[in-house]
Amino acid sequence: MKRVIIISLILILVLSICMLTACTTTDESKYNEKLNENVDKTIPVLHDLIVELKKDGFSYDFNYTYVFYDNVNRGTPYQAGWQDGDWYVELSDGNLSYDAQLDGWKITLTRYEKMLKDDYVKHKDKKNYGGKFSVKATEEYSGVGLLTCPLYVDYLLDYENLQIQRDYITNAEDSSKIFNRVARVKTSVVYDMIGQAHTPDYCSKNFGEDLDYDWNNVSGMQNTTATFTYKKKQMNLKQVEIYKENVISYYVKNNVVDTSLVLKADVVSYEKVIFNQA
Amino acid sequence: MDNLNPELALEGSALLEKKYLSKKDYVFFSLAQFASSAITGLVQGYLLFFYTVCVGINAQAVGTMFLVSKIFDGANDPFMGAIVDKTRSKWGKMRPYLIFGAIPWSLVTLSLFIPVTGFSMTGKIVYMYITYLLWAVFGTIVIVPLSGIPAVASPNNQERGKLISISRILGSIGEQSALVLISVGLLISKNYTNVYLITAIIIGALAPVLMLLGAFSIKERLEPTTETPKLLDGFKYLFKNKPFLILICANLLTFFRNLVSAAIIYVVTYIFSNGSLQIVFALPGAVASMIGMLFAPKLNRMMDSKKLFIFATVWHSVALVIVYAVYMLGLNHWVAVAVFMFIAMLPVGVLNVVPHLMAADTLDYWEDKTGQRCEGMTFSLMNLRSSVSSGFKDYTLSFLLAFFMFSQPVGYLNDHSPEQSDFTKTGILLIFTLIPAICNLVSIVPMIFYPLSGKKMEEIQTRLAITREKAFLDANKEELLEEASIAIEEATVVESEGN
Repeated sequence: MKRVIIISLILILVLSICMLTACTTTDESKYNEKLNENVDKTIPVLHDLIVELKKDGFSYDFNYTYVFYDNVNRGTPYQAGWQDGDWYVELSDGNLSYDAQLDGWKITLTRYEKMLKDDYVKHKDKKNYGGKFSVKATEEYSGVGLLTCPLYVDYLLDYENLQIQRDYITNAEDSSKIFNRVARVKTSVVYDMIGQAHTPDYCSKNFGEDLDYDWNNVSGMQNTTATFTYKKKQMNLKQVEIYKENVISYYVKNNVVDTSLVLKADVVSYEKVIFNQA
Repeated sequence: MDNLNPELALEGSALLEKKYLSKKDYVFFSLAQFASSAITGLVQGYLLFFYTVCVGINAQAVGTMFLVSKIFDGANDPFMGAIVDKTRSKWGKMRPYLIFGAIPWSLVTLSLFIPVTGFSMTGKIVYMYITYLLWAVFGTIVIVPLSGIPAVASPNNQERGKLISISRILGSIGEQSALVLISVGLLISKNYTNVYLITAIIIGALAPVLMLLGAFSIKERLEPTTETPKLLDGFKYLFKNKPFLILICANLLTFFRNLVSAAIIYVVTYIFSNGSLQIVFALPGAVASMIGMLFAPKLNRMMDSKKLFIFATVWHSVALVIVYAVYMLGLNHWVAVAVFMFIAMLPVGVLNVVPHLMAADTLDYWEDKTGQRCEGMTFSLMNLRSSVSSGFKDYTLSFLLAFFMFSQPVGYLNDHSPEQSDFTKTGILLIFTLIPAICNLVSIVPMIFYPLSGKKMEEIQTRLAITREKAFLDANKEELLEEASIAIEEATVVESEGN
């Protein structure tokens, strides 16, 4: 009788552990659950911010930077893709304004000559860039109807209905930071070998910080981080920063000891645009 | 002094003047301190950045590891202190640990900087915990006794102060050796991972040589107390020695000050976009700090330790606010920031030395009160404080980086270095200036209650000098009488020959 009781207890214990394991969500499930929760919280905030922006009108000073490496391609198993070259910067800045009552917009823009990244870094924080950046052109555009604005407005309006691109969101958060609130959302678009766009789980394994891609079938990706700083009370959008990284996969030496070529991926160019309330 | 017999007071003063240490003692011990500080400077200054930016481990995971490990490390220190206090060897109480711990500690230091980028995130975190905990254990074995050596190297309080001061100066230089190596490395290569690894190899190879040199040259001259303190008594000691308890509390709260040096690598990399500039920020700061250390004993003669501590803390905080204001008002070139940071770092040298001088004072206070000296326990508790402060500093830094939305590299890209947002960069500037400026002032609160003023310490040290001399005479009565008889006989012979 004692033996029966002991065996039964052991079986109940084993069964309980199996049931507990079966009912417990996996790490990946927990990760996706948390992500969805954050996305559900952040998307409406961004929608409201852009709606408020369009309703009240706005005036933003902007700074647009395009940084790129000039000599890289995918390469082949016998030829490395990342060749000798340099990093360059194309810079423009100006003001973007919109009058909600008249539905009229205006852009004033200064474009600068292409420069080496090292030169850009030396002078970028100086007043008027220390006079070191050569002006290529100054331009002015105006029009009626916000959607007709040819430059930069899309960077803002893209976030009005982010629900459409929900499957591309990899991270989202909205929280209080000292005297403001900051909402940040990250998206990722993965391109296959014929250039078609896919969601971030395409040809990937693992998740979160262990995410990895099959670079034999992924030619590149575009990762975007958008940061919105705002005052909650008036839904007043004070600053927007949008950072888009363009990644390609390319053949490169494995390491110093093993010099066989393998596929790796890295950022070959990025755009950064900052809008500051004028 | 008013309560002492004038003749005894004179005798006490003479005993305080006797010299015990040679130049070799100062040099070699200081080199050992240099080596130890080189290792701790490398790890405390750069490991968090290495883990978050080079290996790609989440900042909060790294911060949590540091907090847990450093509290564990600190908790080990009193045990190490008790072990040291119970040790009796031909080398003394403290030196055996330096001799046998130096090499393992250096090897484990090197293992911290092996870039395990091929591991999964779980694997990286496990490796991080194991290697850091091993580093902490070996570090305790070396640092606790090393910190205690000055207190037993000489009965002369001024010599002790000078040895502490000089060794702390060399230690301060040693702390910056990683900075110099990494800055030079980043001028040659922008690959942070390789530069950090090579720096760890250089320091890991040289440090044990210098530590062994120091260990074999210096002697422990103060005899241990006849009664061996019990382990539990050591912990009770902290709460019974009120001045020491206040000192520990005040120093525990100075961890905000260390955010400044911890943030430098982030400031130069992400605000000024040039990693090699850290030498411009940190080295003048280290020089300023050394100047402060050099003047600390002299300033201590003009102003007692408590006033000096408060004055230096306020100076440091005000100067950091000025650095922030300078940057925000448009003087945002690195030259301007570095110049004002030099001024801000001058009091840090004082703040590095004064607590150790005060710790030695609390030892004297306790010996005067009870007849016991707990050097091992005192300096192990100072190290506990240092470890816990360091843990708080790293945890706070990692928390603030996450708060300010610091973007970390993604593992699936080859050499990823993401641009940080303006919000993050503003946050990094705040971590470097305003946050430590405001929070560091909290450390003044417990210090207001510290009772060991200059005059009180003079009385204590004079009483102690007399007590020690009497104990020496009692212990060596027969030998001294024999020497005296021989001297009298020789004098008699000389007189007879003269006649």
